[in-house]
Amino acid sequence: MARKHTKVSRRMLFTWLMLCGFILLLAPQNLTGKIQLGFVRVFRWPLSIGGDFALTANTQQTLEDAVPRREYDKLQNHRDNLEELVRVQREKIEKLYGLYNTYPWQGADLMVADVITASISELTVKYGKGTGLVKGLYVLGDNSIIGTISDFSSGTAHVKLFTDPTSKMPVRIGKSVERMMQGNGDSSAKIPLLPKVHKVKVGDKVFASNKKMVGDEVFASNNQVRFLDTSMIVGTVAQVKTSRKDPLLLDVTVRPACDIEKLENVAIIIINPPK
Amino acid sequence: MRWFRFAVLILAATILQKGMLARFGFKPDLLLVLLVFFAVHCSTSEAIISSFAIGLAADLIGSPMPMGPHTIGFGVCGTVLAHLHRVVAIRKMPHQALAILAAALLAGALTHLLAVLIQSEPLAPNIYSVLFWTSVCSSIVGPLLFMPLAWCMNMKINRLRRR
Repeated sequence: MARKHTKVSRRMLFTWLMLCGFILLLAPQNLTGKIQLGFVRVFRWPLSIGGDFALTANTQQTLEDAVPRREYDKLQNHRDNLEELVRVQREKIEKLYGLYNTYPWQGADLMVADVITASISELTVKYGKGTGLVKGLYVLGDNSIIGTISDFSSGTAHVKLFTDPTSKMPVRIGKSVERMMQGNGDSSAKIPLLPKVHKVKVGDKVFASNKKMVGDEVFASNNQVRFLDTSMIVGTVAQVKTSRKDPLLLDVTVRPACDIEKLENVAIIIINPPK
Repeated sequence: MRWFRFAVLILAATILQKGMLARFGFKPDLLLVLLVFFAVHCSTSEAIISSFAIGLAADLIGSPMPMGPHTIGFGVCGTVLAHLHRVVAIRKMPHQALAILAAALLAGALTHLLAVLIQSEPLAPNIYSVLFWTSVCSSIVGPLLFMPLAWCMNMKINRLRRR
């Protein structure tokens, strides 16, 4: 029997496909997000192989007796975190001497996840079995904060890096300057419109703040973001320049404390994990 | 049109774009190069279908942007290019580079416009520079890929055909 051949006009074809596109566009974002994560999960093996090739191409050989730069940065970040921890503890002991004091990481758990793909603004990671994963959890890379969980499905999650242009994170420069940091989209972030009275200089450490930013609508209305029990290093001040908007204000550029593009695994900080 | 080869090629380009090229700052958009290739070397109906299929593939790896804007943006862009090719031949390398540059700028602008207007996605401050440099990279690399792509798809691209 001869097969019946139906001919669809180009106009109809275009209309139907456009309709499909709009259905996809208007579909709930959490549903389409799961499709994107599902694709990465299915093809995680070739995707990670491709990433490894790119890493190999980017990595330069080092001398045998020298400590690799990445290892050095990792240890340096660890030292900065410990120093910060000691400082915070000392302050707490001074203020609350004699009262009950909890260890900062007592209620937290770390979940290690392998990086499948990495881009300038986002990582896709594969995590093992575990509960307590929610959007907004902080993610550590080489002992420094690199971003937050933006979406997750069974076994796969997207990490929005703090360098993403749509990312905002409360940070503290040095000991007292608390501000909101926003991603630049080019492997750096900025702290805009900082008054010049704050003596910020290149090389100052920037920590993810453990305090809620009062008056900031992003954090005041977003319950998804979890707050750290203690400050952790995010990066260092790379550039300080006078703002174009106001000569009395500064625009501060912050570089990540680790080489995010070369990360092979990360750790998700799960605050108050279920028992 | 060999649709199985087409599917394998799109899948390979998608994985390459998301896996290997994602780690680089400025990179060519391989899916966009494929979009222009199929829009120029296939019949109009095939070009329309392939444009939407490539857009869907771009949406799959388009996170953090939600799905949909790439499908529509690439679909519209590929259809326009296929109709344009019925009037203007795009055979020489400079013309192909120009077509890729225009298609990349148009598709990119439409995609981000849809994401902002319909999905209320925040617009990145550096979006214009990223869009421009991605388009430039694609237009430089794209024409060089046309010959291997034609070999993969078993197409004859040197003869002049207008449909």
